[in-house]
Amino acid sequence: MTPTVSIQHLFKSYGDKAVLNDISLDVFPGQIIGYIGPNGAGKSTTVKILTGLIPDFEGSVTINGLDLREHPLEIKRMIGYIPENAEIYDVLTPMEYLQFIGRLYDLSADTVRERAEQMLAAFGLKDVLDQRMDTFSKGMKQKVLITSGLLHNPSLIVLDEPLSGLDANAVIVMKEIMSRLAREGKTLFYCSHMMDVVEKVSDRIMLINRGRIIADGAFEELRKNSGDSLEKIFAQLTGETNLEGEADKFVNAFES
Amino acid sequence: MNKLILRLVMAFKGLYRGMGVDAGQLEAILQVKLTMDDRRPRNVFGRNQPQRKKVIRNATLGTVITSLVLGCVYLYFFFLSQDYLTAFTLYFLMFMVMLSITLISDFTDVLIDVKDNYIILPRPVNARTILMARLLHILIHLCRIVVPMMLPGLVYVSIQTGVPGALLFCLDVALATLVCIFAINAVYLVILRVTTVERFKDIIGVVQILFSILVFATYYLGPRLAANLVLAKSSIIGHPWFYPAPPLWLAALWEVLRHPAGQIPLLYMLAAAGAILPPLCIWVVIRFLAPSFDRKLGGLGSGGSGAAPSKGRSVRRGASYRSVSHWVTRGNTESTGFDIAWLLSGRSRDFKLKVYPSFAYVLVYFFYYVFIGKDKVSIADKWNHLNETHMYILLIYFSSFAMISAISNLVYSDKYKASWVYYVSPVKVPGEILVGAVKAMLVKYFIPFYAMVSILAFYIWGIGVLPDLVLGLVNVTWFGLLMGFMRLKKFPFSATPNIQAGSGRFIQGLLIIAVPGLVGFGHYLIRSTLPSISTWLIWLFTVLSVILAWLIYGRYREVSWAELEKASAEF
Repeated sequence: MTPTVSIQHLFKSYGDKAVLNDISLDVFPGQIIGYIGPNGAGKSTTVKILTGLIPDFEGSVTINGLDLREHPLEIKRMIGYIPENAEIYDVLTPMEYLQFIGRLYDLSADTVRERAEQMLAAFGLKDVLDQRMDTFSKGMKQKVLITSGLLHNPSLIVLDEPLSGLDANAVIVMKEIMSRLAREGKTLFYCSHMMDVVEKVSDRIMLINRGRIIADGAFEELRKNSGDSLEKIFAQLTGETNLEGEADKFVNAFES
Repeated sequence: MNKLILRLVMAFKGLYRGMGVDAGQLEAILQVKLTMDDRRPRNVFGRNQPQRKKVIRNATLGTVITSLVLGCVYLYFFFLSQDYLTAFTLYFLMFMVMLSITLISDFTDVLIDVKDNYIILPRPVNARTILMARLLHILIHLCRIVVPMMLPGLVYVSIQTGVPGALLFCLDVALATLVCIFAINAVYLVILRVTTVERFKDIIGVVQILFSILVFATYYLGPRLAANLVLAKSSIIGHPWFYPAPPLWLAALWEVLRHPAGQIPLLYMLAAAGAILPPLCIWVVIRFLAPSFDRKLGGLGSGGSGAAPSKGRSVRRGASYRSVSHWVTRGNTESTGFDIAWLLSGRSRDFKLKVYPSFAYVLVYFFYYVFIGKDKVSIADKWNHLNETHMYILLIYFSSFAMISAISNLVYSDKYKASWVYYVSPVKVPGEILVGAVKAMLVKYFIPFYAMVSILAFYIWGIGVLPDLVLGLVNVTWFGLLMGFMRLKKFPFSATPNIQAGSGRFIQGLLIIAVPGLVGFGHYLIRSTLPSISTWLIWLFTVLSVILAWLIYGRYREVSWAELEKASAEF
């Protein structure tokens, strides 16, 4: 089986600071990858390389058998990207925005309307389809953003902290959407700091630290070697075993 | 109108396809960009009015109409001078200054929309389509300003000189536009070269401040200076310091092409400069500036995300304002208000954009009133007789408008929501914070400015105006406090700039402007009608003003939570 994503010896540095240091991984259809790591570990950089936002890197990246450098447009067509910082043209209405995105993927206006109405209705946004988004809350914008990333039925979906700002019901809907999409054979690349969600949603977890993969496997496998929750595993593998001590320092600041 | 423009632009589909551009995507991007332009508040002209309507629908129509009106205003120069060379030079001077200002503030939004990097770049759109969309967007934007702005001039010129003159005029406008594009590109590039990407928008903000002062000055003083110019010499060609100015080249080009024979050699040289230099400038832009510009802009997006190591701006600890704060404030709450107003006013781009120019406007107004007058007295003469007048009183009281502007803008901020901290913290008397903030405005902005004004006054009128300046300072201080007491019952930087001002507040605003006017008039009466005892009277009034200032200060400092709430209900 060809892997959906195949990264071989990926290096990336800004100036003399190495951000990614020899990353290699293969991801297969139907998998949900939980991609985790401390702040500044290189998660976002990996995602940006995958989605074509950062074109210069060392190593090779192939997606569905196509080389990222040689076929950037074909690859972008297969990827759905839901970025972390909710950048959106918020003077537009959700419908206008999604029509715009749809046209960039050559979808017909009717298809876009049908899909958008159905998808946003699932998130409870049916009544605000034609209102400008500048009055929307963070969660509402996030719902539109998620829809805009899935609109063209991508086979690889890259999600960067997709649940931020969502209300509890929407979180349940979104988790369900993710596992359904995986069951249909799509590949999900899920970056998050919410360990409890990653633990439940992903069937394979990759932990990176300082630009290297330091753990790779199903949650059950990781549990055998380290702690009992993903939080503990995370702390142990990233070398922060004395977090209680850090908390002590924080609280003790009152006394000095 | 957008539909029409879009259809016009998309008429060349075949051409775009030949260049490797995806026409469908191009149309989609342009359509969205034009829609967004319509909904974005305009920068240059719309900045000072509070936004009446919350929903902005046809912002571009506003731009078109404003440009058209400005185009009519420029016709003034054709009536001012019968000499076409002079008239055209002044016309193009205004035309180019205005065009550059509009573009420089709008280009920040158009070109530096970092969102594009997140929204369009991950989609299957090729680089040529993106580049073409950007170029066409700029072109459409440019036409929406240039075409209506030149229209009145074009009509006038074609009536006066017929079709050939009108065609030459169009050529001149095209060249003028090229020069403006070059100037803006150069400015942007220099800024990007000397600074980091993070500071770019700050510096553009400074450029905008400088430019809005320039516009204001040109509008008030330009016609008067121009009239003076025409009064002194018959043609602009008699002023050598105008030779390096592109507007003169363009005027010369028009003149030379219209009447090719029998002109003086100098004019031929200027015309040649006008014909050759603008295309050369554009060549430089395309060849050298644009590529590195795009590279820099590319870096703009990735730098902003925090992926690249970015150097944060570090701030000195224990900065000098702390010791100032210690000297002029009483109690911890008051100095908190002082500190926050001092710090935020220096870093809020919006505040600077609105307040800094008003300090310059004071001087512009002053010179406007000094030099105004229909009588045929030259500016030099007026200047020489200035020290015999009481104009310094005008200067003193005009400067109170700068103080009022600083105080009334102190409450507005885009990040107004952050002001929740005041409400959750145990502040007993909010008036202390407000007083501290007003003191910060006084110490940070007004006193240095007033010192400058004083030096100017001493230079013109001599040391004899010292009592007047002292009285003026005390008066402006209590104007500021009164203004604060009546209108600023709100924490610094705690209100959205988009709120609507009620009619009651409008009348209040008029009253506040009337107070300095009345006091200034009284001051003037004392000086002009009672010369023998006026100095004594001035000192007497200074003492009275100090007492008044002290009373208002004490009352303002006691503003309670209840009063604050009542005021915000009226807001």
